Amino acid sequence: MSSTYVPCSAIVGVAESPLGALSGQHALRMMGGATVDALIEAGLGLDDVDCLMVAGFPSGQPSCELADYLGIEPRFVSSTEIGGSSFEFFIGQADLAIASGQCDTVAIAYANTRKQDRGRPLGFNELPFLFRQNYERPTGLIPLIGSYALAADRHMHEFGTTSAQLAEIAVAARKWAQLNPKAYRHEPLTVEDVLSSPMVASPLHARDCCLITDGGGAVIVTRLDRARDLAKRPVSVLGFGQQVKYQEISLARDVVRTGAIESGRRAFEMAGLTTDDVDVTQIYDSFTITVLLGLEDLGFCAKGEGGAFVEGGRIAPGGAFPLNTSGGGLSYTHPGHFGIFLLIEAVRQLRGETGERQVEGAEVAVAQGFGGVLSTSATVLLGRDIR
Amino acid sequence: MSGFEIDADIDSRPYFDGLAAGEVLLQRCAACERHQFPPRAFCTVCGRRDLPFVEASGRGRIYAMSVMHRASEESFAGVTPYAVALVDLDEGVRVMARGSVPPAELMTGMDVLVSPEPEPLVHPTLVFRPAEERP
Repeated sequence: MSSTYVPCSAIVGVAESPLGALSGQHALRMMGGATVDALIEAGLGLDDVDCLMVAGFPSGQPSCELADYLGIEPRFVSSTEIGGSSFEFFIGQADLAIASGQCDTVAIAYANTRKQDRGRPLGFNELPFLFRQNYERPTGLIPLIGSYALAADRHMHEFGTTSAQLAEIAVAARKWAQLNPKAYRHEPLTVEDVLSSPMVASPLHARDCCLITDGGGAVIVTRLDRARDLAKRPVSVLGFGQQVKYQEISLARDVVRTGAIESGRRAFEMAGLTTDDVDVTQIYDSFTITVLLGLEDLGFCAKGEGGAFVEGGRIAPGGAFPLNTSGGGLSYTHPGHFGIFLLIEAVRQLRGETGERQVEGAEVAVAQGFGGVLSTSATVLLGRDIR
Repeated sequence: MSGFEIDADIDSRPYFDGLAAGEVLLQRCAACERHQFPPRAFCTVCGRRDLPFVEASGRGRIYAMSVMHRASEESFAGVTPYAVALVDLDEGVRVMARGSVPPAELMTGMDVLVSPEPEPLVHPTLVFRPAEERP
């Protein structure tokens, strides 16, 4: 199955909302503000936006609620909810919608107040997922981490991966976060710190888990030809792919082979690129194991070799493989859906705007989103526009 | 009992009734003869709707396991740490179950016996223990 589709769009503006522990700010305010900031960066206005794509904001009709907040009347919207990878999925949807003439300029937006909402019911209690409620919850599986822990356990069983190897991923994220002024955590973290943090659901420790913060962001996508007349150097969409595997972990056929195998293959085929062409990599890091599976399934290393791949500081600043240069969901921010931040960091790297953490000469980036409990995958390849 | 309810319907009610009666019941397609779990209105392989419930052997093997060091909710606070596993039953279906013995006695890849939880902590589910010997 080879791809003949050539993407037509570019990212022209990105912005985060305020991040961290916020009080008194509604998610719509964060999302709306980030959208406006991303438009200002691009040299566009709200009246240029004719499409909204929103996920991860707890609303019955999130795109329409954001339209009200922004005071606009979009002619195309999407609120596809596939978890944290929704925003990588939206890049493909935006490109297709633009290519078919449904719209010209898309605002992809997200915000959530997970930190403010702590203590309120989350996870299992949030929404009624039938199979989860009937067949998983009564076993006492801890939501989210319990499912990821099953994947980590299976990876260790099949391939001999160790907790110390997983810990390297959290340590590298912290080192990158120390170079990112916006990151939530800057204090030093060692492999020993991770391994001695409380075990939550074996083999995953507390420091194998992402942060819980408030925050949001926005990404503006428009036609590449139009993008070239705007304020920032465009970042071209080179390829995209998506794959849904399951919703609940007990329905997974194979918990250590994710949809990134398929979504990554399709994205690289569309772009006409290979993993060797990638300069900077952003992989969803809800938990350390998520990164390991992403590296393997995108093809940066063979299945089962992810543990050895991340050893020895390879993915940390100064290492041979710059990964999650923002500090990721593990140390920078994680309001529940991290996917939009993968795109924001990839774009800033390709524009050369990331200061101390800049990957010199970065021309091609991959953003690998995962949603649910390794349930959904969406891969986006982005490139610095060569006019 | 804690504050959530099983959402059983016409297709899953026999399974939950089976648990209450001490039996693990699986749908088995009358046409293609495959077992299926969770229960649904039709066979996901051939689409037929004739899916009588049959009793499972209870024999299986741990595909993946995690030990919960914190309770997922208050009802489980008295039993931490406890193992939760995905168990591949001999019938070819995968189920989630809680360990009924201390986690140290269990490991991934082990042959186990799956049975209904005798005295449910919350709602009836499956529990597993090491198989003494495999025939």
